[in-house]
Amino acid sequence: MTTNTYAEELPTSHAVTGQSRTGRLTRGLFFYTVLILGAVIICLPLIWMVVSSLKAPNRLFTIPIEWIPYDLRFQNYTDALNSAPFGRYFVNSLFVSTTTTLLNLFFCSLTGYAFAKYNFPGKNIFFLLILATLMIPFHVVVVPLFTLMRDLKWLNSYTALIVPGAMSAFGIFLMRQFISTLPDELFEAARIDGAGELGTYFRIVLPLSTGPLAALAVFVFLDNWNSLLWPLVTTTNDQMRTLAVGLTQFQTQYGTKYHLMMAASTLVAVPMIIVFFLLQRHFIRGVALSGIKG
Amino acid sequence: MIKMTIYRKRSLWGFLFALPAILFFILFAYYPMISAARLSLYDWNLVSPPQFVGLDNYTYIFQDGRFQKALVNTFKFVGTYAVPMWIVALSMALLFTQDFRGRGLFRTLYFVPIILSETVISIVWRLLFHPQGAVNAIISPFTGGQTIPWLTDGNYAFIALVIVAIWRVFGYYMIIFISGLQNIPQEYYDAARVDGGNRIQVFRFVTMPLLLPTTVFVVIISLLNGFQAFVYQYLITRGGPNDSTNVLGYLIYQEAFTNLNMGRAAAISLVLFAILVTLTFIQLYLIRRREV
Repeated sequence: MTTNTYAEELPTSHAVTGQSRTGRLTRGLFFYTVLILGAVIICLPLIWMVVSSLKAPNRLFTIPIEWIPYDLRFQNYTDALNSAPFGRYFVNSLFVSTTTTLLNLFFCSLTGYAFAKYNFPGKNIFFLLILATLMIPFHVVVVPLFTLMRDLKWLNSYTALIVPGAMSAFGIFLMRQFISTLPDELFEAARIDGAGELGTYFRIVLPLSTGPLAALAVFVFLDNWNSLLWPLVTTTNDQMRTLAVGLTQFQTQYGTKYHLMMAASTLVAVPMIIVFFLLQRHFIRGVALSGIKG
Repeated sequence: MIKMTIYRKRSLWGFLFALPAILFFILFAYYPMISAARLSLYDWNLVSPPQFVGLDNYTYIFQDGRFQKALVNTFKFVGTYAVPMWIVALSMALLFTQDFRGRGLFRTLYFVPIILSETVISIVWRLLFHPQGAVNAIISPFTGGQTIPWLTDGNYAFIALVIVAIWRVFGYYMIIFISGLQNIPQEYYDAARVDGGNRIQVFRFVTMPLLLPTTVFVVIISLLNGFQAFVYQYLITRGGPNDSTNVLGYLIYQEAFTNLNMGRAAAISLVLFAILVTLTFIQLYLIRRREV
């Protein structure tokens, strides 16, 4: 019994090849070399960004690199903030991403519920039609969508930034798959208790779907926060720009003020990194969940 | 009789719940898709009325050197970014299925670039690839202090974009591979070990077939994303030097919003669509054949 438990605790490959202690040591060494090298490659660009954001403009490109700035120029941050309305960009990004996420959570779960638990004529065809849109690349619809926004007089408005992204076929698929696994008896019981059709949605579907909804929220929020092409095309007014577009404009305008560009980039990146470290479980679970669907 | 009406009423509710989505996808997916097809037959600069030109846009783009270059580059970019990325992501995922100290921390670190927008990443990497930038500074001991013209030489610029693309996404696909690997029941490994399989055999005959659904997902998603690449080309190289890094995704943007050739942009976008649909069907066909 004890030997059994012991064997299970050993790393798989050790049990296979029966390596010696030194074998395990060199293996461990190799392991950590690869892992640390990977971590360095991931982190260095970001560290360079932060370090450069605190440097004088003429200290950015030196060989060897000055990893510790000679003097810390926090003034770069105030300069960057003064040269473009980053506060406004931030509010726009936050508002657009949050609203889009909430709309997706509501509509994707409602539609998923309809396709999972109801029968109506044409149900399968409609579901297939929605799924098929996953194959349409955004680049194909961007020009007609732009002219549609222009005809509706929606350009330079939150409506244009939010409405075309209010639902996602992937989200509907994810929610339908999940809601299908909920037992029918739950819904019957709720109906016997007098819950209406909307009541079952709010009292059964929503509370039981928090897992996939959290995953969906992470995806939609990130997608919108990082999106560049659509807000680039639909906004020309500086007051309506999102962070991604604002940063792009900043790059074109202040192309050679590299230290300010790094300060602005740091301002955009750091909040996301902090949020990620706080919510990393949800992020990673969400991604893992998206893979399972395949 | 009563039961019938309840059933009818309920199916009406179901339809009502699905109706917003049905209308939404008609308006924001099917209508623009059909408009794009129609638009590709017109000459239109957004200002003057559209002129019907038949298939002229298509004959034009297929004779256009820029389009040909972008088409070839798109395939080249997808190929050079996707294959190494799969290998890195899968090997790292295999590492992560082992038990070791700091596993969670490393996994989290590798995931960080996904959180950051492609915009921020492009702006930072553009400076890293500066002739006197950090990349050249770090590799200078190996190149003998030689300055590599990362963004001013076509071939290097191409490699630079591939590096950035892999750097950003491998952590994402790694996580998907890890969850796929964790879903393989331990009994299969135990059985293979009892039968005396070595590590390579176990990988070949247990891991690979059972990981197939995950692999298919990773391949499809990463290829679809690769074919739609736009931000790196737009922000790091502007498609240059001399269009050597231009891709269809960026050319569509340029034709539509810089040159105001809406019809030509639509025609290019339909070529991209045709490529993606073909690709998806090939993959679906291959999966079917494997499963039957």
